[in-house]
Amino acid sequence: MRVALVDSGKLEDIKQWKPPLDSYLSRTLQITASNKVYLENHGLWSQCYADRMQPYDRAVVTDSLGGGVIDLAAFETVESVQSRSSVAYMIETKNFVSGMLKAIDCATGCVVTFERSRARLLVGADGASSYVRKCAGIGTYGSEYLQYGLVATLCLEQLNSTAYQRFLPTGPIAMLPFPGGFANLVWSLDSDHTQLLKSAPEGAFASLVNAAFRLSACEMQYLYNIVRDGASESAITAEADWRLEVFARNNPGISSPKLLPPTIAAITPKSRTSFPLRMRMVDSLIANRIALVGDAGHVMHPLAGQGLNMGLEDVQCLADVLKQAAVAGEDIGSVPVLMRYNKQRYVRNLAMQGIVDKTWHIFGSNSRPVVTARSLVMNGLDLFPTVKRFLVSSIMS
Amino acid sequence: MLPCKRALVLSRRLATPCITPRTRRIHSAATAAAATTTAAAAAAAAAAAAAVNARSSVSEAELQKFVKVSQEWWDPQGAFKYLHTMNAPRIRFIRDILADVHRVTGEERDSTKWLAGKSVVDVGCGGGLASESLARLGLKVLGIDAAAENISIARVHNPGLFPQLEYKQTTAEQLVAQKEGAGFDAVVSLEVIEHVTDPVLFCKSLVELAKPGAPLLVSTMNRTLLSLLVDVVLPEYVLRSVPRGTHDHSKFITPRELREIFMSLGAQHLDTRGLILDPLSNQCHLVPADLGVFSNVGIQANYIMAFRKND
Ligand SMILES: Cc1cc2nc3c(=O)[nH]c(=O)nc-3n(C[C@H](O)[C@H](O)[C@H](O)COP(=O)(O)OP(=O)(O)OC[C@H]3O[C@@H](n4cnc5c(N)ncnc54)[C@H](O)[C@@H]3O)c2cc1C
Repeated sequence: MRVALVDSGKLEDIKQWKPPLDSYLSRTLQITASNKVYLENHGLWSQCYADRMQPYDRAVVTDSLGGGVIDLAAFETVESVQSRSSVAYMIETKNFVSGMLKAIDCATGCVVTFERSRARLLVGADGASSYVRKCAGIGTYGSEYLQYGLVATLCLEQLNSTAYQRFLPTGPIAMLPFPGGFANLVWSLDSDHTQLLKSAPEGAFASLVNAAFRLSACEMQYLYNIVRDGASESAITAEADWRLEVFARNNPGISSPKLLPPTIAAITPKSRTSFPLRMRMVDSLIANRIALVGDAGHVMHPLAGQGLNMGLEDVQCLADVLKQAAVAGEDIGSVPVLMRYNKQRYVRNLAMQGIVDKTWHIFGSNSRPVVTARSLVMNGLDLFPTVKRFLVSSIMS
Repeated sequence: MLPCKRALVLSRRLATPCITPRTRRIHSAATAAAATTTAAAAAAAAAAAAAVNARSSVSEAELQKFVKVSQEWWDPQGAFKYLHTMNAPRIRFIRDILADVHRVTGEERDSTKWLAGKSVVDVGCGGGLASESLARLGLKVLGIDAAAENISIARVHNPGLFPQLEYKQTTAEQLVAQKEGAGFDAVVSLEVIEHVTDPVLFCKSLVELAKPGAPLLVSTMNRTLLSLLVDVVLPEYVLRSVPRGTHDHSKFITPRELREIFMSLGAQHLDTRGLILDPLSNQCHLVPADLGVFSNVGIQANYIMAFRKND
């Protein structure tokens, strides 16, 4: 079987990527343990820079309005007790992609890159606005969250290997660990707040992130207002830091690292960027001689860090189906063969998107009954390890 | 179960060397069904037809007819859907038998290297469904059929497998007589034997086409009450999806008879499997002859048998 890889991007540049020595890039990915094992077994993972990845096995999820807390400590899951492996890995997107490209180069004779070709099967892995999908006439539907993902690289006051996520009325904020006291920020906000926080002075931004993980919704509102009014860097920092001090004094029991992330000292200069967020589902993952994988077949809110992970599962499933078909001499581009892929993945993807979408709507709500219910559930979860174990394994693996 | 049988019957009729007037009726029905193709498909068909024209001397109008029937034949969701479904497990079985005969084990079994270049003849190839799959495995395939129409249907479908795959209008007997094709690494004949007038003579030709030690694979229908019901009475008399008289149930051959024929012709029996179709999931399963304590229940209707020509 011959495979051709076609991409409009500058693959050679990405392959030659030299990592910066003093920081981490702000576009990152969380890869689940099972996907990491799959990539490892196929000789793909070893081509990434290992010293720039951070395994983590603990995630703390909190809720700003109701005060609910879930400590998803992975050592409670049965598998990780047995294998002592981590639950997820943080890696920079560039590190990941360049590693994959290097590994493809090593797989001799498997891949040619050329521009024009005829094939029995076209795999559309061309992202959310897939041109392949458009040409195949596969329809899409979905909801815009009218949200943006604001990302940045954070420098912490201490080393950290735990992920923290907090649900705010404006959307979830997450801090994901990197080696050497660095962390990645993913903060979901509406376009107004995104613009506001992107334009806030860099020196004040760290204090705002610290505040977002600790202070109440109305205190945050106050801080946003003074930023909007054009307060100076030192004024914003002073206001936020004073409130954080009061918070620390009043809540001696809530401390890092059990419930709170370590304090952020600064952000890497110019590391703030934002991406529009949306959920999009396709009518089908296949058409005659066409299969869609990754974001071409589903786009979801990054709050669970599942986008690429689902894409990797698509790939594993498709590869498996094609192998079985090839062994039986079937035409790998024919609808009956591709239908097996669609059957296995379509419903699974819908379900995963549904879970993420529902989580977003439940935690995005300010209404009193919803808030009470969700903090009850969250605190309840902390008391019932079995339920939590199930949650950990379904979210993370 | 029933539509599958209908498709099967159609296939058999297309594959059979002896029936011509009836095949023509089936063809015209299929042509009518396929008449609603898009302009793009028609353009592609014209291109395919042009390609075929270069190789044979069939008239243009005739060719257009074959192009349409071929599209119908190869539509995996169309009337021949269940034929497509049954194909994959059969090919997998053929591949397994070849691997056993050549003692290929472990990971190598799943590769195509060991299959490359081995020759196989598909006797009664019909529209080329099995022939194409075998060629895709890397085998060098010669598909033969007595009906010129079938050969034309197979040829206009272009899976890009040339030169691994060739079709020829001839019979097994003629091929033996010509001596050019003798000594194949494998001989395959699917759903044909129930239509031939002299099964023993037919099997003799199959054995003669094989190299010493080469496997022979034959699939057909058992002569049982079940096959009388699902292969003859339902499609021909109840559903009327197939013209009456397409199948002569008395000509069906039991696994035991088939085995005895081949043993007497100097071949040893390797394996027998039943083919059971689940129309709900559109999946076909290859099952052993005996299921638990029930002997022979797996092979009450469709079955496939593997033999090996003695060295
Ligand atoms: C803020 C944020 C955080 C996220 N965090 C995570 C996370 O932690 N974990 C996770 O699993 N997922 C995460 N995701 C989702 C993840 O980034 C995507 O799911 C993933 O990048 C999808 O990969 P893909 O290959 O399908 O598409 P893309 O990454 O979009 O790649 C598409 C490729 O196709 C090429 N291309 C496009 N059009 C053409 C064309 N016409 N011709 C040729 N080539 C073309 C492009 O050059 C590109 O290389 C996050 C997303 C966001 C926005």
